[in-house]
Amino acid sequence: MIGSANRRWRAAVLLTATGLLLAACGGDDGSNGGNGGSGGDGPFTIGLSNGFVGSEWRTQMVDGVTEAFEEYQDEGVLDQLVVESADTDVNGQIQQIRNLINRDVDAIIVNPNSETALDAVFQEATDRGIVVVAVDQAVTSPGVTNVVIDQAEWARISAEWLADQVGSDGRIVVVNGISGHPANEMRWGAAEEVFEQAGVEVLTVADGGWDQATGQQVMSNLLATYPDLDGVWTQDGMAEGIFRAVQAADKLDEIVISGEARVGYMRLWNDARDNGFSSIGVVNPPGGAVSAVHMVVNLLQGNEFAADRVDGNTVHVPIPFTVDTNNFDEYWPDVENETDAYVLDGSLTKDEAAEYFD
Amino acid sequence: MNPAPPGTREPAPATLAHWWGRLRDIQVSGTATVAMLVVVIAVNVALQPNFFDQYALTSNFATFVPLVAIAVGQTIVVLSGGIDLSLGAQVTLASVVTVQLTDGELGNLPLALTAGLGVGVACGLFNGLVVVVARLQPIVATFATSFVFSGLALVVLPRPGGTMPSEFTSGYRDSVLGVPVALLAILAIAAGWLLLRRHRVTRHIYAVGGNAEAAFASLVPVARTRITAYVIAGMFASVSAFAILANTGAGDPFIGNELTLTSVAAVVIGGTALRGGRGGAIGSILGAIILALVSNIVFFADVPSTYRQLANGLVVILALALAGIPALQKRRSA
Amino acid sequence: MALLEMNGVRKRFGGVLALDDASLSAAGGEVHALLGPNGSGKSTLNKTLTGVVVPDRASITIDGSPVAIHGPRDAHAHGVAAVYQQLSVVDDLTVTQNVVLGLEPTRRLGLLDRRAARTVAAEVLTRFSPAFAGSVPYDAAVGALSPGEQQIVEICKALARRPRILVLDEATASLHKEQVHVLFEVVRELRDSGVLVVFTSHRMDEVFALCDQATVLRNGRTVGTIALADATEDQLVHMMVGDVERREEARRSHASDRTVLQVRGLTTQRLRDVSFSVAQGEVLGLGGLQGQGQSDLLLAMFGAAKIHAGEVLYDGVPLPLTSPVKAARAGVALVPGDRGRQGMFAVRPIQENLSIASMHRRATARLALSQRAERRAARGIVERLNIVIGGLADRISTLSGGNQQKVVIGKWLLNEPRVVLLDDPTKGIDITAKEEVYAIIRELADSGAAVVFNSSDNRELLEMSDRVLVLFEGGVVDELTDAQVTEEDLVASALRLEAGETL
Repeated sequence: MIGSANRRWRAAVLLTATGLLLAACGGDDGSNGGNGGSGGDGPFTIGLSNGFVGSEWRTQMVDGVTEAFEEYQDEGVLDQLVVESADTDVNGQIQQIRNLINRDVDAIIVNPNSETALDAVFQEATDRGIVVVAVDQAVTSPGVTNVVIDQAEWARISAEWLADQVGSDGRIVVVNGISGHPANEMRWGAAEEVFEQAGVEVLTVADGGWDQATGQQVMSNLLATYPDLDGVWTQDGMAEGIFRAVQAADKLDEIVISGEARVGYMRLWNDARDNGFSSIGVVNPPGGAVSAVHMVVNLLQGNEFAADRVDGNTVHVPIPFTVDTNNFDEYWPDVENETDAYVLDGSLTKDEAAEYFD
Repeated sequence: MNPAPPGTREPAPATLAHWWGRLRDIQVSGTATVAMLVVVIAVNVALQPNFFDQYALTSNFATFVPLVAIAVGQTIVVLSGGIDLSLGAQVTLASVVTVQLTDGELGNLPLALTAGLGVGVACGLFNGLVVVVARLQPIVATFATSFVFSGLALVVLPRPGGTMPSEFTSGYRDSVLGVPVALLAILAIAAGWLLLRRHRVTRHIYAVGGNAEAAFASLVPVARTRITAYVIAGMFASVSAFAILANTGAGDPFIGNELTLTSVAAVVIGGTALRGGRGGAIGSILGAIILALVSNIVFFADVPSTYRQLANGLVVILALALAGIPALQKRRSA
Repeated sequence: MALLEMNGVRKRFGGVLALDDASLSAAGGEVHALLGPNGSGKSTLNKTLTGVVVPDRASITIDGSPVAIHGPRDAHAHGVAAVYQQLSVVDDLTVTQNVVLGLEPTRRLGLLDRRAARTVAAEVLTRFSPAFAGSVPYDAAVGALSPGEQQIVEICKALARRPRILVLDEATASLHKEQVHVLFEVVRELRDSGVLVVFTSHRMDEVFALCDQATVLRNGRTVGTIALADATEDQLVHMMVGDVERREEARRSHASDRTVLQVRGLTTQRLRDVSFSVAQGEVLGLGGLQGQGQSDLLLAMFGAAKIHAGEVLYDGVPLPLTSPVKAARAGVALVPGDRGRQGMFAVRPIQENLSIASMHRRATARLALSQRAERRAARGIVERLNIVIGGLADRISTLSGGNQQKVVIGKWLLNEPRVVLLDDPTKGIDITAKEEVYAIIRELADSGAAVVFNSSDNRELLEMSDRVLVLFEGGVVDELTDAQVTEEDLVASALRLEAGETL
């Protein structure tokens, strides 16, 4: 059977290979699908590549981009938005971006799954005159503009608050996202520095995977290991789980928690406020992608970034606001009917975005 | 002993093991695989008018190579009667070791690639020993070793970084006489398999996967053959890692892990029965291409992004279900 | 001088002593038969020589020098090749690939030399081309060949190894007459060229036609070696059976005259036109050499084999034999020989194992089970069969073999069967447990069930059975009643000595 199957295979493969070869040779060389990238007069097509789904943050991001696109579509500036959004790895995202290139988009907004590993495919895009902007996670590719919040700054705000709360010689534990993940490293790098300078003792650093359930479990273990804690510093996506773990240990009055600006956490926070519980939530806005849409439009229309707004290939958009005990009531009523996973958000307006350009 | 004659039903009730056995028996015929490929290409061409443009072809082939290589590796283990759930992690480990040693310098490349290949060999050897010597179920053993390999990858490269020389990445996107280098890579992998097929060890792999007891009685070194299958698979994982590095130009400690299950799907779609001993890697190569093109199709068909993953999964299940239709299965001997 | 000397070969499998001081001495240039009744150790001795079984103790010399055989490779190194009834061919490989398997000719770097392989295969296969209806299918997958053709490939594989000692263990079982003819010609040629052929077959006519010497085994010991030209059938049977006292114990004929079970012309893939009847309360034994269709007959009567023709009637009404479930509902019980695989759920509690076949009897409205009723039923059986258990909730795998078997039997007693089929029920259990199983079988018969009982142990068969049917290659060849039920008759009948077909 192997013999005959073998012959059949060979025929099939030969056929396929020949077909593809002919096609490969016959294809018209290097046709540039995009209509010229910057300086064109539109309407333009933009693509969005998102390699992770299943979090409210990403949903808000995609929804925000869609809304911003619709405005521009009404104005006749943009005519198509191609969304590539799927749970995938770097390889899958490379394929996503290649698909977008094959769709002849003029610009790609990407929330990258890797800081470095998409460089080569970004090169493919920029070589073909496509504007590429990375959001949420900065990338190293020089041809790509990062439109992101300053992760270090984001971490610094809550770390400084926590250091202030526990004081010098305060003993804390840290529940990070995923070691090795670039955002995690940038955030922790900044926070660690803050704690060092403030003389806060970091007993241990654990990973909570940016997941509430994991965070809760990790925190429960830490509470069992370190009975004598003053505080815990964590990142977004886990604070709710950490709160529950501390609550279960009946230590909300002893342990200070750096929180997050999400409705689920704020609901717990709100309930505990009466007992004097105090926390902080720094907004990490999904709307950064909306700001990126504005900037992409500017770039497509031929505008260039003002020199003082760009740091290398990165443009920092401001952190919209921080929720703390003092201003809690300003934000809470607006969002309390949202689902627990909803992230407090903010983005640049069109006009604010225009200020980033000459 | 009185072996149950073929054709009798067992008095024991149907068990899970029985159904797993049935599943393992599923084998797609070569005709069905080729038919699927033709359909998938046709649909893709219909949906993507520039399918045959130079860039589209080059980028498509560039996307195929990592999956093609790992699928060939998986095929070899499956043919030997095993399965390797750590291949993706091996790809990751080989890629981070290679990128670390290359360090952006073209001059370091030969050494780095050799080391990368060595990583695949070592991982395969480790898997083989665990499966053969420790006598663990391959599915469990390699699942466990996958954590070892991906853990090591994180040690070697704790965070994304490192660069490959631009000659390496741009060369991969180049063409020779109009033929994309990535396509040449696929043809080279296929040629490698065809050569391997003519090797004694591959014959032994088929024999061991088909009937290990008979192979043992026929003087085939069963244990050594099993180990060799994992080692060869590890080498193909390294090739997959090189293709990924050419694709990405940089290292990432999570990059290959998701390739594992796709490689198993490619093997099944390509007509190799999971029970071992039947099939071949050419089918898996086509299977890998089919899987990659399916996700292209789902994209170009403008399936709303929320449904895209679902559609992707359904198409794969459809392909596997086609495999289950008796008429499309390879005729089994009596 | 003897080419092969095996002495003091001993091998224990768990509780069973398969070989106890067995020996074999044979010269080159002869065809040497290995004979013995069921369980005498022929196969184990063969496998010791070919390295498939590693003996606990043995001294083997080939050509006068002692050799150690720890595996097939060692056997091969000493020029031993073997053919078993249970094939060692790989279905997915072609005929040529199978013949050279393990010894593939290669060129540089281990690349296969297909031409050389074909030459090697052709050398041995051409001889057998009549057995393949004229043309040898070199490139066909072995799995696609008929069983006889596969057997030929297996034989050619052994021949391709150019053995000095060739073991043929039931190698003719699935061959047609013409194929056997060719094989015998080849064997005689090998003999003439100085090869020793060790030949085992259940077909005595073949043994007489082909072999020069015969060594007889009984209960794992070598009884003796005789030249077949001088031997009579009676001599052989006597060697195999030994001096046994005639059974004095009066066979209890509790069997009524009322025939309840009738099997008419039952034919399956493994059975040929089997007909017999069993009276109420009768124990009918199934004898003959092992693997001649006894288990297949029981499986067929339990609805677990595809029936091509024939029927089984109980009180004149056909039993539904399309599935074991239907057969069980109709009052048929099967205690299978392979306990571990077919008879029980090893990791489940004893309680469940006892209840499973008869739950429908106690279920309310066919659905609801009462834990208490299940336990009561199980406890009743445990007491009745004197099963030694820790608790009903223990896993059945915690029990001894004898007690496991009693659970398997108890499972069916709960279902109050009218027809009880027992397939070697005492295999691998100790003597005390055996006695208890015998008692249960008698009790079953006394309570009016029709019992059909297969056993590989001739004595047990003779003691338990009112009548014995002798099967050979799927058909009933003899029926032993009353005075005829002796071990000698049984062995002689099993070997078909008086009715030997001529080749």
